[in-house]
Amino acid sequence: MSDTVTLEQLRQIRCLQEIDENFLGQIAALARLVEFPPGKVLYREGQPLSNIYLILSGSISIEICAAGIGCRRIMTVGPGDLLGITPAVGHSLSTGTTRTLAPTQAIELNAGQVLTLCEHNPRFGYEFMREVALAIAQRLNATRLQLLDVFGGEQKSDSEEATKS
Amino acid sequence: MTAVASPSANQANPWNVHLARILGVKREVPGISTYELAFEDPQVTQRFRFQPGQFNMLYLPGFGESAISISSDPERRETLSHTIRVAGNVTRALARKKVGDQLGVRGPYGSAWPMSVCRGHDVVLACGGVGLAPLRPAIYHLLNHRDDYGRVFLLYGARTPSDLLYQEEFDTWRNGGLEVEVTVDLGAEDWRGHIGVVPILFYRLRLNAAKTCVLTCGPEIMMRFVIFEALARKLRPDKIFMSMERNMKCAVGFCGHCQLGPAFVCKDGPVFTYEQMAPYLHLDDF
Amino acid sequence: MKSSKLPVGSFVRIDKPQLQTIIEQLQARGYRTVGPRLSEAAIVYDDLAAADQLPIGYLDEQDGGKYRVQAADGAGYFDYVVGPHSLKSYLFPPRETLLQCEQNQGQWTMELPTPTVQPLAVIGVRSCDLHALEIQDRVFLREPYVDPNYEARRNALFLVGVNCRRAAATCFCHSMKTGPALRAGYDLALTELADRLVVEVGTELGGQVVTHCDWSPCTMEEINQARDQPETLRKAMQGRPAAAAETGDGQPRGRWLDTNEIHDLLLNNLEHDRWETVGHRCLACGNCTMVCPTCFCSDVEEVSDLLGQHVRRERIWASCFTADHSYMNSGTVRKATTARYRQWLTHKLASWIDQFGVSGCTGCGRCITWCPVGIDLTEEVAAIRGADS
Repeated sequence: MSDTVTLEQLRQIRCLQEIDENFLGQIAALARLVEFPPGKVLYREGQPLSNIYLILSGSISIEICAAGIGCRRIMTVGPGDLLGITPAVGHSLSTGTTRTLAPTQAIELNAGQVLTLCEHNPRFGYEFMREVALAIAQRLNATRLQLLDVFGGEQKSDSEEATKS
Repeated sequence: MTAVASPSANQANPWNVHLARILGVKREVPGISTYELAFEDPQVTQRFRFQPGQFNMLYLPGFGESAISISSDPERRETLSHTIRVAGNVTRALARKKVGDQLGVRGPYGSAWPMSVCRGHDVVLACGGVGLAPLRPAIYHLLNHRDDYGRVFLLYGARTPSDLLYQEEFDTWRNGGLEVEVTVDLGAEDWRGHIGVVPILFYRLRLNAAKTCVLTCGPEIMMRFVIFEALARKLRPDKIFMSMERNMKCAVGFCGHCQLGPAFVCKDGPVFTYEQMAPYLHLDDF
Repeated sequence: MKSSKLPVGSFVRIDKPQLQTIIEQLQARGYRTVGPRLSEAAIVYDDLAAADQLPIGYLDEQDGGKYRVQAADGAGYFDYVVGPHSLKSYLFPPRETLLQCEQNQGQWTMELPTPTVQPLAVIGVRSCDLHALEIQDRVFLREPYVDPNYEARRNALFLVGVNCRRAAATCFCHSMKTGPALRAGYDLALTELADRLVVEVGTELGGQVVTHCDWSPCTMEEINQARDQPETLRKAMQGRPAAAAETGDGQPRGRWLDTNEIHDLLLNNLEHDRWETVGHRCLACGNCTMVCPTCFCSDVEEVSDLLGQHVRRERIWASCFTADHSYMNSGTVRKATTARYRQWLTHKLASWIDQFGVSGCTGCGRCITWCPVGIDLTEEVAAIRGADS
């Protein structure tokens, strides 16, 4: 099966939707289509990372693992999302463990090559980084909401009920 | 049977309570159960009509009333269901009621979800926790009239997988043409679904901004961020609908408690457009 | 006694003691008669059995957080203005049974009480309070939810209005266009002249009642004099703020409220510093909401016997200044006193207009008088407007 990536497929990714077609073509040249079965660990926390994954279908969870706790799933990414913000901004050590939850199809990009493209084409570099920044802001916002525990009130009454009986 | 002073006076008296009996109690998730009720008087059953999004005041003498959204199919009028989360004195007393017990019902009250305004549109139902309950009648309506609408998405989140309401209906809804995406804040061992907040599910949708309606219900914070995503996609503020909540004592605009700016949540709401609520949502202590 | 009825719109002259006949006529028709009475150093509405029970010759002195009554030479039957009571507690009682529930062998019956109404005649109602009545009508009588108890009592009301010829320092009816002259809504309207009362017949029933007095038709001059009196007062009040707080004769001119675009002024300034300032003075005591003739907030309480088998649902007055007024299961919405004062004032002067088509304020000044710390809403609005008060 061919692992070439089409422009249509790239356009399905949120952070690439506004990128100029010309640059999209250059990214397509660097990209390759990959597929993972469910339950596959893509990389572990602390591992050096060189790839960015743009998800086309399926579901990948991000986990933090520790002795005694096991692996706590803190969020999932799905179609259209970017996995690998860390390498996208030039860092190399992963901040979480990623594991597929369902059969997943993704676009794999070598982060170094993308960053080189950014350096040589400042216009593209600006736009790409802007999109990555937006993705980070989005994820930060979502994380805040998770922290706020907006359904927490619903749990409180439940525990009152439990102790009453 | 309800003894009344005079029938015509009754119809007009907004404090008039109809007796109903509990036919079924279903424990949905910890702290939340659904009560299926039928009126004692078949004439009341005949006359009672409600629209998705409306609520009843459920009355337990000695405890008081609680405003609870109706969560059943508006086209099935022999019984009414109310999904109730234990949160205060009255709901706690309601939670102790069993099949065969009586309670009082006043209603239906409030504004409804905009089922006719959204005809011909794609519809996104974005809800969390017990907020799915007031939207369930809208879901039934959408399924009963599936061809009147475009794509219909249900985006639903709860704290943990064991807090998800109505899970046993999701496949039926999918088969009826709803695209159902479910997420939780905190995963569990055997949870293979999404982990994250409802606004993220919204973020992932591909939408035709001009022809999309959003109906959102749940914690106010969740609704605000769903709306944030919707506005970022250039959805129209008058096609974004939210269900607001405030302290209610009368449900008819007399007691003054439920006021939110100039609106009485009991009669101008609980369903409002974002356009109506926008000036007040971000105020402190309003 | 002349003809058996006087047509609506006629003006007649009676001696002031003839009020006694009016009271007797109303009682003969089954009305409970109430009017201003001096009680515990204040002029309140209470049962009025005879005209000489009126606080004849008394004047009141009102200001922010201040109310005093004293006898004054030359003062007439009605020279005091409004006290802490209004018509509110008669039509919208502080406590009212809404529903009666009985449990018999596990079966409930729930009954609406039949409104038992005794016709009520109020003597001495001022224009501001008649406007307040009309405003409360919009709250309680508007479709689709009509309060049947309010409606029953409203339909059994007989009103003898009085045109004010004197203002208190806290009055500002002229700003709210609710006085001082009576405009409509009365069965009879009284204007007190030096040695007589000019009575205007407002309804057929009013005509039927006054015809039993020893009356004579007014001259055109008298009618003009009667019309001019409240008009003169209005002009004096209208002079504010340029004119001094008191006239040359030491008569108060009242306050003034600039209502120009007040709706937008308040609702566009919800985060103005002034709310913080007034919020720190406010004790959240709720006096203002109790004396205000248009405030309508209420709570519903369950009152039951020990076994919970006989339960009454009762509606009681409530105030938006209490902590639990805005309490929900997720918490209290308006936690700070600042937020609650803001709610009260923006509702009264701004949101009310969206809800009911008129302002909720009649300019009666009671909230200023009865506030223990003398908060003056006319001053607060002026501060938000940025003007010097």
